[in-house]
Amino acid sequence: MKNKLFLLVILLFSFFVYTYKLDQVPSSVYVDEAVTGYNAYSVLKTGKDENGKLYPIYFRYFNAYSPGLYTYSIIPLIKLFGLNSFSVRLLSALSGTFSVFIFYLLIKIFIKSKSKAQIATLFYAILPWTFFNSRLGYEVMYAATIFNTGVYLLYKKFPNISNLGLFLISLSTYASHNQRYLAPLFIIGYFLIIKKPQIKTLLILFVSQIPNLILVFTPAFWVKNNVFSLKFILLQFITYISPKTLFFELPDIDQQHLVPKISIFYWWMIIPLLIAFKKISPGNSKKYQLLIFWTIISLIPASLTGEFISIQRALPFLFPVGIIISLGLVQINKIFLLIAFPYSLFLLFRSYFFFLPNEQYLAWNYGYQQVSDFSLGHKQETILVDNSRNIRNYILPLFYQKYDPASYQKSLGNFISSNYYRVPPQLGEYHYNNLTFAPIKWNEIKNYDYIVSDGLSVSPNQAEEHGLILIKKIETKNNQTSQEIYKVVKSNQ
Amino acid sequence: MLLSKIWLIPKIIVILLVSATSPWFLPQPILYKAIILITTLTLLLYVNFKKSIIKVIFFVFYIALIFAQVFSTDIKNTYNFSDHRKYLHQNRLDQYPPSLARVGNIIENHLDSPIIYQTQQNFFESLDLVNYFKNFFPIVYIFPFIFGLYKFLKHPNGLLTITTIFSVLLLSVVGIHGSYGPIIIFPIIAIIISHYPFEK
Repeated sequence: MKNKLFLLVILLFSFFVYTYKLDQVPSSVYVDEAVTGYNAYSVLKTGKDENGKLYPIYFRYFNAYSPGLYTYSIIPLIKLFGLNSFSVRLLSALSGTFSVFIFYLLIKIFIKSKSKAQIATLFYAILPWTFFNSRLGYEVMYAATIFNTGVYLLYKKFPNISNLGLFLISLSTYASHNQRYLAPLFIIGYFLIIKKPQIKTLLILFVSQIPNLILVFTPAFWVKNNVFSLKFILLQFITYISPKTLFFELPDIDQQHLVPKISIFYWWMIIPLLIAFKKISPGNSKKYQLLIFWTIISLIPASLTGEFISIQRALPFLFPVGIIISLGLVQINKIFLLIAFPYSLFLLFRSYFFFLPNEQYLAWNYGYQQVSDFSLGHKQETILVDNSRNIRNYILPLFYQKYDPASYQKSLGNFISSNYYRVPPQLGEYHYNNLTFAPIKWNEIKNYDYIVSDGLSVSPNQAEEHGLILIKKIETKNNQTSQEIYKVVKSNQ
Repeated sequence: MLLSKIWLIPKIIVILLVSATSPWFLPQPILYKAIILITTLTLLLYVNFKKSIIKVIFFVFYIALIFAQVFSTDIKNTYNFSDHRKYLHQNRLDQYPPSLARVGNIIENHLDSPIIYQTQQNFFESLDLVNYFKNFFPIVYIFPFIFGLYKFLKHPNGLLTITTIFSVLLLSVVGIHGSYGPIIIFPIIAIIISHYPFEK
């Protein structure tokens, strides 16, 4: 009873920290959150995505295709809470909380003591990377949780096969690109290491993959599949496993993935990781063999895809490594852990709630809410929003304005929806309402009444030369400029 | 004993091969090369035969390597923070609300001061596999290294463990950005690549 109560406290605590100020921190909506939310809103209102495609399997998000399960799953939340940052992020927070529960169930398989398993779970709940991804308004945590639940069910029925577990792993391929690569590798490995499948199992897998198979011969299925050299792949792999990446500093090129002064795990967790190496061995049992196999292959999607390090693609790695670290963690003196917990929680809150909103506002597309409000206040005038440094920014006012999806679909015509999976998307210029999103062309600026710059694209000299008057600066809390709005002075004025 | 001696030959060959193919080892001055190689070979001999005399010889050359590491590293430069870092530090201090300004000062200037943060950075840079296998060793050695590291962690040798801990702690203080890089780590990586993959 006492153990169950403590587990309940851990889950409530997790839910609280994952949802605390969820709509305010991060302080603005990132383009990936906006595109997910707006498309869910579009499906809710019209049954079609922003491009007018009826219930797509993969969504055309910007210049790529994305599996759509998260988008479909947040529709009820958008119906309930409206289209806003909270409703878009809530499913990730719920997934994160559920992942804490799954972590407990899974770690209990390796650590027989319930109280030790609970301590390990408590630390998993406040891992920087669990926390960060549980507050994102897109699919990564949701997909990882579906996959990990499937793995847990396999472990639970060990060494027999859990068809439900395999079905969930298969289902996760509709939630994120990571799992599309990881799931087949894991399932094949499971059949080779643990147990050969029966016909019924194969049939379940086949049926659950029919939607993917329908699209397997289209470009939509094969996005993010650049071919790199073996040396490149190995370097990617060791970058992800390097202690510097895991415990100190993320080498991610995308600022939106970073939280200041914190990495995937806390710096001190290198100690339990080293202790855990003593404990785990492939010779221990098949459960450990599967854990080691799971750990290694969970980095393959990240290593094979993308030109740059993208730590979010390595999210599947978090869970098995979290288990390994926990195996070492529970060997550590309790007094050390009693100090480490509040210390870690402090580091997390300091980085996430103090530093992140003040330092990463540009990475989180700060200022577009105000641009959106400005455009609504100037409906009769035309506005050019420079997109030369953020070509995906068109989605943000669509999101903030809850722009009528049917009108937007109509403005795009039929070409995209009728060639949805065959012609890969290209980013370019976007027009809706009084807004145009395009790079500034100086010989065309007289066609607009206002220009929105990101603070870099218009210098004071250019403004003077082309008759632009600065009328508004959008600034962050610490007085940094995120956007500048200029009025275009027409020659006859 | 005889079997150990026979097994030593491929291990020495691997050490020589690692040295000869390392873009890090080759440009070192001849004296440094000699110190690094002798330190590595004596460490290999010790982990195989555990003779006191070998340990003594190892320590003599390892101390020389410590000096080489310290004198080739500009420690002042390690703790000479860039303007950007100073700006970030001040900015972070300013983010504490007035009521917590004193707490912020204690945390940011003492408990987690830039010097402590730099030491942490040095520590993790001294363990940064990317740095080693991108710049200092051919990438193919990553396979025997990971295999060897796993075996080393399962069955750690006392001297190699102490050497590793001391080397990492030293680099945590002085930093890894010396004229010749973190040379003190070379023997450790070379032993992990050459010795442990052959062990049961």
